[in-house]
Amino acid sequence: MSTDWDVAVVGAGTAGLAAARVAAERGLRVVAYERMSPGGQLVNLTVLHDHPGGTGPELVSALTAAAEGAGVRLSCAEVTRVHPGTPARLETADGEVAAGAVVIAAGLSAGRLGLPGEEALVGRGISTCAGCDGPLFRGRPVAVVGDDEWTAEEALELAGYASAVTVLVPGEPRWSAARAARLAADERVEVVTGAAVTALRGEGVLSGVVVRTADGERELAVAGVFPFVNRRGPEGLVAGLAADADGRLVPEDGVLVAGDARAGAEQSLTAAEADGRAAGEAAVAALAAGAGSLRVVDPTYGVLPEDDAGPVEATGSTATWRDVALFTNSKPNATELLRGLGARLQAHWELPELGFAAKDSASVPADPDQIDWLSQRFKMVLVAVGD
Amino acid sequence: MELERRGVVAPLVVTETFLPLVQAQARARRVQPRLLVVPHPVGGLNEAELAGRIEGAAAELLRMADEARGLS
Amino acid sequence: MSAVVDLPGVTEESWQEEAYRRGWGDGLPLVAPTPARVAAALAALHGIDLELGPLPPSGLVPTRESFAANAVMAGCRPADLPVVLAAVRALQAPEYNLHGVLATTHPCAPMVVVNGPVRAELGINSGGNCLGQGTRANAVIGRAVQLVATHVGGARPGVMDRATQGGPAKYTFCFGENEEESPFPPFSVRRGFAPGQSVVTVAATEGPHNVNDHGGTTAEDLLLTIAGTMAQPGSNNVYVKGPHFLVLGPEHAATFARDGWTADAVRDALWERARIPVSRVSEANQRQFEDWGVVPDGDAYTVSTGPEMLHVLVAGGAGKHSAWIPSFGATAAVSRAVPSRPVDRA
Repeated sequence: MSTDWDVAVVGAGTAGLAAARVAAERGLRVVAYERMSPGGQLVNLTVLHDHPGGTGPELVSALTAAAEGAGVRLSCAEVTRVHPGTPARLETADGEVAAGAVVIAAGLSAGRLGLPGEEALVGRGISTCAGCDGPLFRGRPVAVVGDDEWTAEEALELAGYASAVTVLVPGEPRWSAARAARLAADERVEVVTGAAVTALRGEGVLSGVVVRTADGERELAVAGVFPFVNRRGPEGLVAGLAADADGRLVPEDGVLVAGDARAGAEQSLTAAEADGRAAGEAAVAALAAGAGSLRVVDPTYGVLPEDDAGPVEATGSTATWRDVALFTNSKPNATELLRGLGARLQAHWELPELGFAAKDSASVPADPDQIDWLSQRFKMVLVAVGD
Repeated sequence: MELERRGVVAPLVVTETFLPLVQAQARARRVQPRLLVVPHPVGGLNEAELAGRIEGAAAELLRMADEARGLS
Repeated sequence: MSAVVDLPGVTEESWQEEAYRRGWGDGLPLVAPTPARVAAALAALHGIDLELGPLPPSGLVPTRESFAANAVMAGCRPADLPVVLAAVRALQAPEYNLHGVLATTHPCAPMVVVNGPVRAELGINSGGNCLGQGTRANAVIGRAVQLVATHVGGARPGVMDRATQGGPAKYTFCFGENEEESPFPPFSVRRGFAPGQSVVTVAATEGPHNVNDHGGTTAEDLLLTIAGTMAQPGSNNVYVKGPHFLVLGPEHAATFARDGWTADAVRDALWERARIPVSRVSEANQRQFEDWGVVPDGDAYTVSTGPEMLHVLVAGGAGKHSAWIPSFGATAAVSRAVPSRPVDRA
């Protein structure tokens, strides 16, 4: 069987990274596709409960580093369709690839209210990431819509920024008693049950929502609304695979599904991690069952030297302090941010011009040629990292 | 980080959210990058918000740059 | 990343395809470095520390296992490993300039010259066709050195190895000095090592450039031909300077010795005589040389910076051929003793 990868993991959230790492640690060639940044739902969590991992981004860092350290290749190409088989075929934005085993860990889509005009207000008041966008609503009222653990967690996080957080629960809450107690203890948070959002208000920018409860309809003035309802699993991603009412996939022979994307999954960090690890083990077992395997010593293996803090070598660069460049990762706004900062430095040092280079994609390592060029031509390079 | 290893002064502009990720990479490579940390997010900001980010980070950048150049 | 990898579904039969797909190797068939083969190879290094540092561009330090895996892949026998190790140690000397060597557009390869008793022990050819194919030790030792640099250092062709054309010496380039037929002291002894010691010398060089002189009967005749071969305007030694090598065939060497010439005298004479007339260098190239700080000595350019940059040694079998081996320039000849196992205490 000729394949591009032994294991392809679709989604690099908690479950996907765990599955990828397990398979890579067993020496398999593993790619994890993530069209956004690694971490999935976790990136949005500033504070983790019931998990010793620190903040969400810290845990993402640790999981990502562990996966990459194990040899997992992260790709930002979007996977549009998976065809199970031996090998499985994946249609991606970078073309078709073949893999010995596939793990679907694509999580759930962002929440949506399903109201007219909603899409136009995304990023202009409608958000699904408290950790990312919470600071933008500092001192202003917001609403959170949903009934699950994520909803409660995001509401608690937003309470750290917003002047008031109204949690609109369509029916009754499904979150744990512990979260209910924390919500009750926060005086900025109000939970309204049996509430439906029926309309959005605002011209260009969200200014409020219309809420209907048993007591009738009322206007709620908010600067932001965070919907966690109608989140859908990746239905239709895998050819021939059934989905439940929420679009979450039902695993069948030969197709591994892990984390929130799986029908019946428990929405928790520890469950997603365990689910991912199990899927990784299952992928390893499936491949081993398919054929014998040759065990070899990796000829590319090496260790980083213990005391490697100093410069590796001089490049023979003749650049001076007049040679300053910007190196963008091509993420939205990163270039604008760099240009703005660069302009300040240009004025400060009275530089005639600034050099400029851009990575093709934020999630691939910099082209060695670009690094060579920059290191030989410039004394200082301002680099955009992350997004 | 590779640039710093080659003797280029290369401050990394990173948002708070991605700071731990960058630090993890730095540990793996055993380098201590110069970091210019800005509040998250950057993507999705409008012009005025972006200007705020630039304003907030400019002073630190100039300080870092002068120090690297030996002007401070 | 683990040091041992399972290749699911891969058998000894399909291993070549798998290795090639992973970007391993040099395009020729490879021996699969199974843990058992690697362990057997490592037995030859028992009691010997690798003493290896980070390899550019990856900055990774080979482990005993990954070092030995590359030797196994190249086809080495366990006994070959100490020579491969000495050569890789030499590559890591700063003056060898491994990073520059790996990343350059120039076609340089790690040339490995072996002196001392290890040549006979391993069957390293220093006689007929020693620069060519057909001798296992020469083939696998030179290949193993290149594979360690490519795999652990990560200098994959087309990725970090930016050679414009490369050269066949990049597959493997290892030979012994024909000390037995050389009229001169062994190359290693002239470089300060004890007689009878096994020594490896490396430099980043082109493949050998033949010097055919069937008509000459005196040292003077040969010098004219050799100087004329060396005095060509297209080698890096003209403007990057650095080391270069004259590998005399034993018959040419015997002619020099009969006429009373030492290796150093040959070297000094060639420094004086191998000159490139300015008229053979385009004006554009003259400007390029000048940018590098290289100006003609009178009406001609020199080859490198002085007589000491030319290393004279003897190798090959019967016949009237010698070889001039130009280098990358920004490199140096580096010698290291072949490590030997500590004497086992009974």
